[in-house]
Parts: sequence; C-alpha cells; structure tokens
Amino acid sequence: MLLYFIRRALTAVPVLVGISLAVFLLVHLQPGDPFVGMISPDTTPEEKAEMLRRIGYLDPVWVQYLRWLGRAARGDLGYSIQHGTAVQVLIGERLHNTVLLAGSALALSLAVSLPLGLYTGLRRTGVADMMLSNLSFVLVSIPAFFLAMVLIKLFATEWRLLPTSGVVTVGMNYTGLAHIGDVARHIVLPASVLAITNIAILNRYLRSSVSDLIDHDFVRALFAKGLSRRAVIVPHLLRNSAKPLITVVSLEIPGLLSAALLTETIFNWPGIGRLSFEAVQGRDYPLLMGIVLFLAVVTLAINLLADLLYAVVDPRVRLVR
Amino acid sequence: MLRSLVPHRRHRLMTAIVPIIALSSLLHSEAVAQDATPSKAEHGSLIRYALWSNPKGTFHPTLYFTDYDRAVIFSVYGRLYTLDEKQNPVPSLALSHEYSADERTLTLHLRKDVKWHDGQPFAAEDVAFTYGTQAHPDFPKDRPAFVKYLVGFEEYSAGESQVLDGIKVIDASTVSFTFKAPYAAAFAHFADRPVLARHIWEKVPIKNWVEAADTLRKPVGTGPYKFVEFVPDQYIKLIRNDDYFGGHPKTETIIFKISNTQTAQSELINGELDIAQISSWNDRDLQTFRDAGIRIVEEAGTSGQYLPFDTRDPKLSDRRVRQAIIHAINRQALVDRLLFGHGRTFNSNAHPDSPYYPSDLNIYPYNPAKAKALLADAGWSDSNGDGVLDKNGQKFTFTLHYPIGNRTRELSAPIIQQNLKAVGIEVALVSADFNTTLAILQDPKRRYDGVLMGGTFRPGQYDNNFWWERFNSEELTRYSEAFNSTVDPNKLKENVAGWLRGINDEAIRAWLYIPNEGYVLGPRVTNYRSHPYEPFGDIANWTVSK
Amino acid sequence: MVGFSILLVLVALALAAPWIAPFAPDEVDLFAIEAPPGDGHLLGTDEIGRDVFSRLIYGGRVSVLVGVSAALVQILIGTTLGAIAGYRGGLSDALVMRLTEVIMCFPFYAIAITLAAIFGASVWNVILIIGALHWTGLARLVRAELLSLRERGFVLAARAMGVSPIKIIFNHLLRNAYGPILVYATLAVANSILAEAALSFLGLGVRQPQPSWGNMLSAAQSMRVLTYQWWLWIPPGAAIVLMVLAINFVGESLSRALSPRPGAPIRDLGPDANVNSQTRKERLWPTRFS
Repeated sequence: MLLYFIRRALTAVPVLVGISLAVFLLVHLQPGDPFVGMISPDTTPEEKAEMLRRIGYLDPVWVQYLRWLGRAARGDLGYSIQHGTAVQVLIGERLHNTVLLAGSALALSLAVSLPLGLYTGLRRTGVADMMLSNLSFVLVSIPAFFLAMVLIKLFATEWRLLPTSGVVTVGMNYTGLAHIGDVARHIVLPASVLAITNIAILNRYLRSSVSDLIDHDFVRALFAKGLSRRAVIVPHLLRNSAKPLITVVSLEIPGLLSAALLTETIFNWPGIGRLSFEAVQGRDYPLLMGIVLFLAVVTLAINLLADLLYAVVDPRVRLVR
Repeated sequence: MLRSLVPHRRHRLMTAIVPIIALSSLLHSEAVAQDATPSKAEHGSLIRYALWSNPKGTFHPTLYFTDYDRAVIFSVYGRLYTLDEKQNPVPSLALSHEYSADERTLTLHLRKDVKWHDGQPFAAEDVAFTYGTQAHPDFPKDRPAFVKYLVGFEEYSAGESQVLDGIKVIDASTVSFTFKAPYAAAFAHFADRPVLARHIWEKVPIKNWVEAADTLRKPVGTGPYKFVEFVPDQYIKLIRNDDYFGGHPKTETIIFKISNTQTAQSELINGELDIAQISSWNDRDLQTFRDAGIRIVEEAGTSGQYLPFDTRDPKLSDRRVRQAIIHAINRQALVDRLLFGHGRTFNSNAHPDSPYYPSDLNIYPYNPAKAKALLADAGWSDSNGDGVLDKNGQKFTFTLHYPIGNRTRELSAPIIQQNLKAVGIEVALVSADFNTTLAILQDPKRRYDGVLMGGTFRPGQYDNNFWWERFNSEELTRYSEAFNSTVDPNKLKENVAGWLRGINDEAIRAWLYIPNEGYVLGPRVTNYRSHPYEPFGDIANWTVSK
Repeated sequence: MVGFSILLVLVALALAAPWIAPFAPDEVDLFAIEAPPGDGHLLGTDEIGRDVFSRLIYGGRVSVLVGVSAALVQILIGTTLGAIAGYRGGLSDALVMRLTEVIMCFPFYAIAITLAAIFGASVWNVILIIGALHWTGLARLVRAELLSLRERGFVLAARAMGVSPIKIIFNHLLRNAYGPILVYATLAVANSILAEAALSFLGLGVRQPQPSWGNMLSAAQSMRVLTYQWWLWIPPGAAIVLMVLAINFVGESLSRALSPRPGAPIRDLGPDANVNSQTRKERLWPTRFS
C-alpha cells in the first residue's frame, strides 16, 4: 500500500516539473513588459530599463525560472505587479469565495444527479429516462455564459428576485443567519450556472454506472436467484458506490475551478477565477503564474488523492501497473 | 495634452492641471437641488458608490495608477490644494502661498490644527517627505515632471547628494519649493498628489514601498473620510473623519462597491447602489434610469479619443493625406450615434474649453469630396477602377489598430473603416488588448498606420512631445520653448495658441470625440456635487435620505 | 436523425452565407441603429446598424470552421501521440502520459486566455489553442485501444512478418479503433464550438468586427439588451445551443451504431475494477466546456 502510494506520488514529480516549466514559459512569452500602461508614457527608455532591471525582468530566462521555482517551492509565489501584494496573499483572500462557490455547485449537482442517475440507471428504457437523457443533452449544449445571461434576465431584471453581483449586499452589515441568507441569495445564480452542465454529465455517468452493475454476471446471478432488482441493486450499489463517487468528485473539482473563471467574471464573484482573468488583462505575470500553478497543483493533488482512495477501497488497484 | 486611458480599467497617467490659469469649462455639474431635510446626516447614513474595477490596493498618493485607487485616496487623504469648478487652485491643507522675487521659490503656509487619522499632528515635514521621496533614488515609480524641475534633483536622485535642495522645511507649518525656473504647474501637482503621513511611511524603506501591502492597504490620511476596510473584489468602506479640517462630513459611511457596467444599472434600480458613473449614453438606458426615479448629472468630458498617425510612413508623411483622412471621417456622426449626442468633437491637442484653445482652428468638417481632392493632390487616384486609390502601382491600404475594452471606441473602428472606404482607402482592422496596442505607440522603432487611443486631458500642461506620431517640428518646438519659459498670461496665450494651431494644421492625429461625463444618482441621494477633474472634491457634503 | 437534419441546415446556412446574407456582415448603417426585426432586417440591427441575421450566419461559418478544424488538430495530435504511446510503450508511453497529465492539470480558461494574449486573438489561433489543449482525452483513448489490440494475433503476425510499425499502426490498429475515435471527434467538434464561443465571449477569441456567436453575445451583455432587445442575444445564443445539441445527438447516434453493446454508448464504459486516473477521464464526454 505504502509502496503503491510512493510509486504513484513519484509519477507526479515529472508532471509537477512539467507544469511549472510550462506555466513559466507561457507567461514569460507574453508580449509587452509588465509596466506597459502602468507608467507615464513620457518615461524614457533608459528609466524604464532601469525599472525592469530592478524587478529582475532583464535576467536570463533560466535564472528567472529557477528563482521563481525556488521561491514557489517555499510557498512564496512572488509579488503581484499590479497589487503590490504577495501572490499567495491575493489567492488566500479569494480562495474561500471560490471554494464556497465551487462547493455549493458541487453539492447542488450531486444532490440533483445522484437520485436522478440512480433512477434512470434502474429504468434504462423508461420514458423518464429517455426524457432525462435528452434533457441532459440539452443542458451540456448550453454555454454557461448564455445560461448566465438567461438567468440574469429572468431572476434579476425580469422578476427582480436575486442579486447578480458580489457575495453580500454591501453596507447592510448582516450578521448571523441574516448574513448566511444574504450570501445564499447571492450564490444561487452563479452556483446554478456552474452546476447545471455538471448535473447532466454526472447524471449520465451515474446512470451508466448503475446500468453496468445490472449487467454484471454476479448481479445476473442474483436476479436468477429470484431477488428483486431493487433488493439486488441498492445494497450492491451502496457497497460499490465509493469508487464512482471518488471519480465524480475528483473529476468535478478541477472542472469547477476552471469554469469558475467565466462564472466569477460574469457574476462579479470575488474569487480566484476572476483574479486570474484580471491578471491576464493586466499582464500581471507573477500573479498569473501563481494562480495557474496553484490550480494545477490542486488538480494534481486531487488526482493523487483519488488514486490513493481507490487503492484504499479496492485493493486490486494497487496491483495495476 | 492627451494621454492613454482605458475606460473601465483606467490607468491614470497623471491628470495634472495648471490652476494658475483659470480654465473655464462650458458645462458644470448641475448641483442636485438641496433636499429640504439635509440634516439627515446623522448616525447610520450611507452612500454606496460604484467602481468598475477592483482597486489595486495601492492606496498611496504618489504610487497609485488606477482611478479606482484614486477614488479611495482622494477621499482619505488631504491635498495642499484642490480645484474649484473653473480649475483654480483652492487652498486646502495649505492656507496661502507666496513667491520669492525671482518667482523661483514658492513658499506655502500650512494649516496648524490638522491631525492625521491616527491622531498625530500634520506638519510641514509631511509635505517635504511626500514630494521629496518622489525624487529619491529608490522611488519605485516613474518620476513626475514636478520633481525634475526642483533645484538639486539630479544630484539627489542619482544618490550623489543626501539632501534635496529644492525642498526646505522652514518651520512646522511652512515649507518652500525652489525650482530651476518659475514653475506654474506646481499647483497641478499638489492638486493631483495628496500628502503622505511621514511618521508612517518613513518606517518602510522607499524601495520596498510598492510591496508594503500592509501599509498600502491601511491608508492614514487627513481627508474627510477614514479608511475602515478593503475587501478585495467586493468593497472599500470609509467612515467620516469627525475632526476633518474642512468641516464635518455629512454622511457617515461611504462604501465604494466594486461592480461592473453590466450589472450596475440593475443594482441602482434595485437600490443596491447610490451613485455610479454613466457608462452608456444610450437613450434607452437613460430612459430606464429616469423611469426608475434615478437622476442623471452630466458634465463636460475630461478625456478624448483620437487616432495618431505614424508620420514617417511614406503614405502618411504627406500632410494632405492626413488632413484628407480627418475630412473623410464623419466625427459628428460618431458623437451623434455612438454617444447619442452626449459629447463633442475637437481639433487639436487640448480640450476645447481651454482658454488658449484658438477659435480659428481648421475644424476639418466631414467632407468626402474634399478628402478625395486632397488625396488627388497628393497623387492618389483610383487608376484601375477597383474602388481603391493607388499611386505608383501601390494600393492605399491602412491598418487601424485599436485596443479592446472601450465599447464606444471598438464600435468606432468599423465606422471609420467604412468612412475611409468611401474615399478609396482600404482599412484593415486589428484589435488587441490595451497594453499590446499601446506597445505599438511606445516602441519608437515600430511602424504603423494609425491607432485608436484615448487619454485624459491635462489642461494647462502642454507637452511638446509627439513621439507616438514619430513627429518633430522646429516651429512647434519654438512655440513650446516660448510658453515654457514664461508665466506672463499674454505670452502664454499667444504661444500656446500658436502651438495648437500648428498641431491642428499638421494633422498628426485625427481628433475624434470627447464623451461627456455623467453620473446617475439613486433616489436616496439628496445632495451631490462634483465637477470635471474633481469627482470627489465635494464628498464631505454629499448627503442621502435614510 | 433530427440532430443530423438540424446540423445539415445550420452548416448549409453557414457555408452559403455570402449568397444568403442580405447584407455584408460589417456593413454599418448609422441611421438604423438597434432597429427591431422587420423593415428589411430579418433579425434587426445592432448598435451600429449592422444586420444581425447576416452576422449570425457569418458567425456560423466561424463556429463550423473552428469546430471542425480544432477537432482535426486534436485528432492529429491525439492519435499520433496516443498511437506512439500505445504501440511503443515503455519510455515513450511514460513521456506521453506525463505530458497529457501536465496538460490535464491546467485550468483550461486561464491557460487558453494566456495563450490568446500571447499569440493574439484570431480564428486560427483559437483553433490552435483549443486543439493544443484538448487532444489529451483522445490520446488516452487511442492508447488504451492500442494497448488492448497490440497483443492480438493479427498484430503479432504482422509484426513477425516484418511489417513496419507505421503500417501496423495505420492498417491494423487504428482501423480497428476507428469507432471510438470517430465518436470522440464528433463530440470534440461540439466542444470546440463551445470553447470558441466562451473565449470570444471573454474577448479573447474571435474579435469584432468579425462576427462570431460568442462575441455577438459578449456585445449583448447589458440590462438594456436583455430587457428590450431580444434580437441581439437570443439568436446567437440559440444558434450555439442548436448547433452543439445537433452535433451531440449525431455523436450519440454514431456511438450507438458503433457500439458492440446496444444501448451502451462507447464512451460510457462504466466503472470497472481498473478505474484509476489513467483511464478515468475517457469515460465522460471528451472534455467539458462551459
């Protein structure tokens, strides 16, 4: 078990190096320098070169890479050029908002898709299954930003039911339950937008998990023994549900973090997705590098954790490869 | 003079005003009628003001570079001088000034009773520190013209001298500045750069200033509002400074809410915002506001949009061609259709409200026939009948670069394209993000045809600098040398006007339009006043009903 | 079948745009700004008087072009690297797999908008960016197929006869794995269209004045448009949904037709004993865009 984990963790090292190298090069290739648009256009080229030299911009690329990597390994992602603040601080200030949004979306999508998937998996040929299956096709075909526009149109401008911007109603200083209610009102629209495509995907995944189970020989054998579908499926499904659940959650999170960029930008949600969009627009190299690296490492860690959990719930996995 | 500006993400590049010269603006802010019950300013009153983007948290008078940081800074910090509606300097932290006989030394007498928000007394040392550090060798930003005019700047900024001779503290409430030549623009600098608290900032090494997030994000000033908290991407909360030297601020709490132009309208209507800048002059938007009981305040614009030409380009080096292009663009239609009439055109490198703006400039009216004639004079004709002008076998093509981010400017590009097509110029449009587009102008080696740009006017500051256009003119330089070495209003007027006429005649840019500024006020707002260049100048007197 | 018909109509409209469109897509009419549908403009006009219907069908060309080209780029990269990994195994396999893991760890939008900022926003760059970031699922799929096929008798026989590896890969392996690849490619078209729309919506894909459904929607983000000017946002939004939906249905039918097990789409292999991170991702839609 330990051996398996160590082996698995070691495969992550080259990936990590690859990620850091790719991120660094990508960001470094950007045209323009970090001061474009930030200083007076009257600044002479010499003055500007001096400013660039001071922040280490003119050093050889590999020196800059190693310097950045060495610091990053110690949790120091450098200073954002625009904000004048440590990148890890900027991420930290917004991370809880992204976690809140992504977590709500995940909870929402699981809450809807688990029962639906179970139901449709058991009744693969029913009318409800067909309708849900078509519906899930429609849902994955709607771009999130268009869905966001439709929801804003209906819930905010048409019916004036829900706010479309921010986390709280500013200036109201709600506390306790009122505060939670306020945040909940703000989170409904962005979380729904994030969740809806996922619901469709999860539903299909769970449906096929369940229907596969039905086709398994041992299940057929149990059917043959005269047990009802439900009596067979439910206990087996519960016993076998750990793996699909790990799969689902570990797949969801990176997708949610990535999609959060769009949703957070549309809904003014103060999270890291919006921060990264602003970093690109403002050419804030250290900030962008920091966010992408952070998200990539989170994704890598989640994959690692998922594999570890597989090994825990299913010892056979340890023998693979 | 115009400089780059990004609406919605404005990177402020020194909006300086020379206040000695009163600049009359045609339109002043309509002050909103005082409510019958202005005393509703007691405990609990709150104004929520929309910012279009997150401030960078650089709440530092000499380091900030966005309008969003500026909003906070100008509410929290006090300035030596502010500007009145005609852009005259009004003493604020300063009480009075006097010049030496040679007019090179400016002595300021300061208020004695002012306290920083942390209770420390404000003194001349703070003033000397604020402007002296801009000349310090380690100062982490570009240096303003102001310090370069100070006596002893070179020695001090190079680290050769430990003291800056040009700034002297005479006593706790008197400070003097000595310039290399009479420097009228000093007041503009004072109005643009509030005073820092020395006792706070001297603890941070100057070279580390931009990274001193903890200090940058807890501004301590002398202004009408005290900083309370900054929740990134959400809001900034300020509370009134009961000891404000300018009088008791009327509203208790100011919140700058980070919003965006897309959602602000519904936030205003739903009562989640009180004041926002107008982002669209679309009649339908204005009507929506009016229907919801939201008032609209309109002021003269402070920024202009223009199209610089690369005057080294073989086609564009001919002045007639540049003039033809201006004639070919229907600039009034841009104002009428894109700004719905809420703006104006202009014809040289100054705001038309500037007192030196000549009335006899060539206004380059929209005239395709005239444009064609000028192009024909320059040798361009459609010899093969394909609808595109040519000369020596070369087609007249024109690549128009424009930055994204300003909707009106983006929309103007295809209109200009169509206008120029009508006179036989084939225009290719290339858009990119703001910085990439700006980099074209900033790189003197780079060739281009034209770039759509915008910038904030710096009235009174006439900068004889045309390197974006790769242009040089001895005549213009003569004018600029003349107006830069005098403070005589008549000589100033004569030479600035001559300079502006020269630029107008050379047509090194197509000057496009100046959008009006506007604010929308939610129904709770009972007293609001602002004027061009001073959106927060009167913040202490803003009131809301409960 | 319905999906296929809709798709056919949309593609035909897009391809025939120059002949069908009543106006040029960038023809400005400052005297007909924001005109509602009717009066010569089937779907009204936008902020500077351009014909929305014309822009819509020209925008469809962009979607078709990006969707198909980006899918081809993915097939090219994904199949080649997947085949190398699956056939050669060993170090090549490890390298390709690590590379896919690196790419899969990146948050798509952050990387895509960074690339768009570096290379500039244009149709071709959008195609390359989407292609370059989305071949990983296909590479894993091809690799998995090849791994299971390469020990089969006919491959071993071919190898013993000295047939060159490239021939074996093309003639024997890929030919037998074309079903999943085809289905994957179909869905990749749909996803590429969604990705293009999202990037253009963020202002980092296809740029105005060239119309694309994404940038048309981006221009329509205001309360005014949402409240009063449905013709500026409903048509491009509906067009994306319709197009993507149609392709997804076609992909679904393909997958059913090619599936060895009726009723079980190929990509929904379902969880089995060997689910781990190597194979997990192929089981869902190739990649997901929002």
